[in-house]
Amino acid sequence: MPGKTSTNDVSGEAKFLFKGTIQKLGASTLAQVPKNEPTAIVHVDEVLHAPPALAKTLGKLITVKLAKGTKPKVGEQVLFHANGWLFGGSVAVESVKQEKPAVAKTMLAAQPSDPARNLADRELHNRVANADMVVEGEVSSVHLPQTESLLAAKAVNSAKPVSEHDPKWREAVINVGVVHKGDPGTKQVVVRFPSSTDVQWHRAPKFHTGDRGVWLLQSGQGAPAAGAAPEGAAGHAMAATAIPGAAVYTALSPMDFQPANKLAAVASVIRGAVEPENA
Amino acid sequence: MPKRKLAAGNTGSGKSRVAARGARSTSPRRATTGVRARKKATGAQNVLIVNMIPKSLSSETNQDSEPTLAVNPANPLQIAASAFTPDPGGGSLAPIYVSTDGGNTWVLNSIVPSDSASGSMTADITVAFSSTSNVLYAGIIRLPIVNNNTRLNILSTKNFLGSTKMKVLVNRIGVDQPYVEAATASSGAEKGKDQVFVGSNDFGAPNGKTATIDRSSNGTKFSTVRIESRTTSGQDGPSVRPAIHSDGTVYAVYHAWRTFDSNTGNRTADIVVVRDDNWGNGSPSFGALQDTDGLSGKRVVQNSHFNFDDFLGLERTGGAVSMAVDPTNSSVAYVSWADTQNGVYTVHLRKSSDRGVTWSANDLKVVASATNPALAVNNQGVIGFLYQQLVGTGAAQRFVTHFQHSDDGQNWTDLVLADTPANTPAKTFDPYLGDYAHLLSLGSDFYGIFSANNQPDLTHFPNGVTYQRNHDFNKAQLLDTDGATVVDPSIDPFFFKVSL
Repeated sequence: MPGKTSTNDVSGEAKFLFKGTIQKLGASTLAQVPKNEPTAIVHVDEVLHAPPALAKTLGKLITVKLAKGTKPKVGEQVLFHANGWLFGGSVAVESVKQEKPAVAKTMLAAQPSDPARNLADRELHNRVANADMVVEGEVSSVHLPQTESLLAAKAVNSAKPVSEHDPKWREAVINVGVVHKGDPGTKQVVVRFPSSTDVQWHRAPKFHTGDRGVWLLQSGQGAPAAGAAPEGAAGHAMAATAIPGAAVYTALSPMDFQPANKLAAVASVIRGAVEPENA
Repeated sequence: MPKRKLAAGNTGSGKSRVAARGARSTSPRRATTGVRARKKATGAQNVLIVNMIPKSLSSETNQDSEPTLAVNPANPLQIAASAFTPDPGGGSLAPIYVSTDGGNTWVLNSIVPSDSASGSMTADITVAFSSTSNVLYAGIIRLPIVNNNTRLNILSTKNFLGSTKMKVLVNRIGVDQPYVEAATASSGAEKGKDQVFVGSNDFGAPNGKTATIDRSSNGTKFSTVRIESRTTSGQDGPSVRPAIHSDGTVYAVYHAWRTFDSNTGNRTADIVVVRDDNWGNGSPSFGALQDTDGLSGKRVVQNSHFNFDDFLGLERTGGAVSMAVDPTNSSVAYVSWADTQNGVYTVHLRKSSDRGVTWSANDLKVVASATNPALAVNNQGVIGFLYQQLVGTGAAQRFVTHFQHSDDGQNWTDLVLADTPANTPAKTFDPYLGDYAHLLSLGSDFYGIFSANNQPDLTHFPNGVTYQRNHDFNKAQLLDTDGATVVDPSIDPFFFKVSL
């Protein structure tokens, strides 16, 4: 069955992988679903991976907007690659790809039982694969970046915009114990992080001296250069304040810091994502 | 507010005919003392209050703060809303709330550009329908960040229930707090075309004059208008709020920052109103009002004091403003703002009856320890006033959400929409309740939205409430999708409609 690029996931990867049985075609469990959409009411038989809200649909009837060009039959069991669409009294999802049950059985055999964990692991795998560097270590100190320090010392109202979305950058110096991916070139790396609690930044990990774990690091993302370039200038030359001359990295996603006390649960995922590149 | 046990079972109807429960008349400056009001102001009214989280998301504990609302004038059963709510599907689009039955039930539809790795939400969002074209517009701060800067998107969709991503009309870096209003011109050269106005704080504006309106006379192409005419303290504040009249009069109020004390963080601002008399096509655009200094923009108040880093309980403050124009007479306009009075964050309300040239010398309303003022005027000329007030002390503090209305600006009827704990749940991020709430009118009806603690306790909602998510009013508990597991309280958006 042909799939299509989901309007709800530009990466083309579906967040909701489940096995379901077609109950009724051209129908919906939600009054809000537009009548002209190609939908079916589907019983969710088994969930392979899903965000928590969709994992809860196991055993329930939901609405599926069928992938373009597909014509499943009532009673047919299908493996749906879908994304969330409408959440109301019931749930409607948009299928981006549909497969036959035989494929589903094969895939199910290889999957652990918690669908939300499965999705989280898959996303962590992708995050590791896309990281510039993955290091294990401990935060030795936290500093104000040079620009912030200068402004504080001068106590002036600079050209820097005052906004509720101000990231309030800080720099954490990490003593690197193990390098899982990339080459920092030194025993320490500098991670610039937003200390702001604003909605724009609250999900980004905040670091404190003594924090231990694994960092998935990106270079040149989000954080401004210290000292020279005004905020908003494109093409930052990333230079650290805490260690002059050192490169600055960021770890802005909640996935980008895996604390030591939770490493056991994700170690295999990180290894699995790193090893193919290091092989 | 002391808790009281209700005899009601699991049937907390959100629709009530009010007069006996919580409707109080008040006089100016005495918002909490009962004063006999005129019959017209206290007449019975229908009140509908709905917790907007749908049943399928009964497990959610997000901080769904900073809500806005849009009612489709061409079909008032169609309502859209926004809040800091992430996509429940964890995808690359953020959701809006959608109702097709006048606000009684809601679904989430993720059609707003966002980013899965950034939390599938926005950093700011407001929504507005045009008058007759059925087009929904949105102004957002889009995630992820780009080069350490906020990113404005102005969006539109002709199908707010479809799964197609909203169309990006404007994409600009370095802009904060977009606030959208829209109308369809009913006469003149622009007849039949959507007129869209998005107030924002644009850090790319020259000379620190950052108060800005992006305007479109066809719902597609936008131009940028700088509305600040005076020297600032380096920039204006984030609040820029347009208000549209169907005759083509468009006002906007903004928080014009004037001084900054770096030792204390204290600032002063002027509350400035600008006006355009032809859908923003004046020459110069929004230059119709001049003050005594010969510059554009009437200063309703000068040297208003505030601190941008201050808090009212868990709610950050920083100088909220709101504006409304009387749909029956474009010469009549109202402005509300918040400042610090003797250390107390305080909301004010004033009126102009001459197109913003002069303003009432004294406040029509003064509400201490309050924030998130929102204004609207209905087709009877009745002014509606929404705000959230912090009352009590310590752990007993509560946020009380009021909707007040008056037909003369002097005698007010007060409805308590919600009276909820102010310190629980713990704050996930700023803003706790939102940098704004929202109120609008259609016909004689007022529609609004606010965020508050969602514990399903009927004593918290003296005018009733309807929950879609699983709950037990008798035990005052939220329940998961299994109908049994208890879910912790969080911040939810609440829709309300008051029919006079």
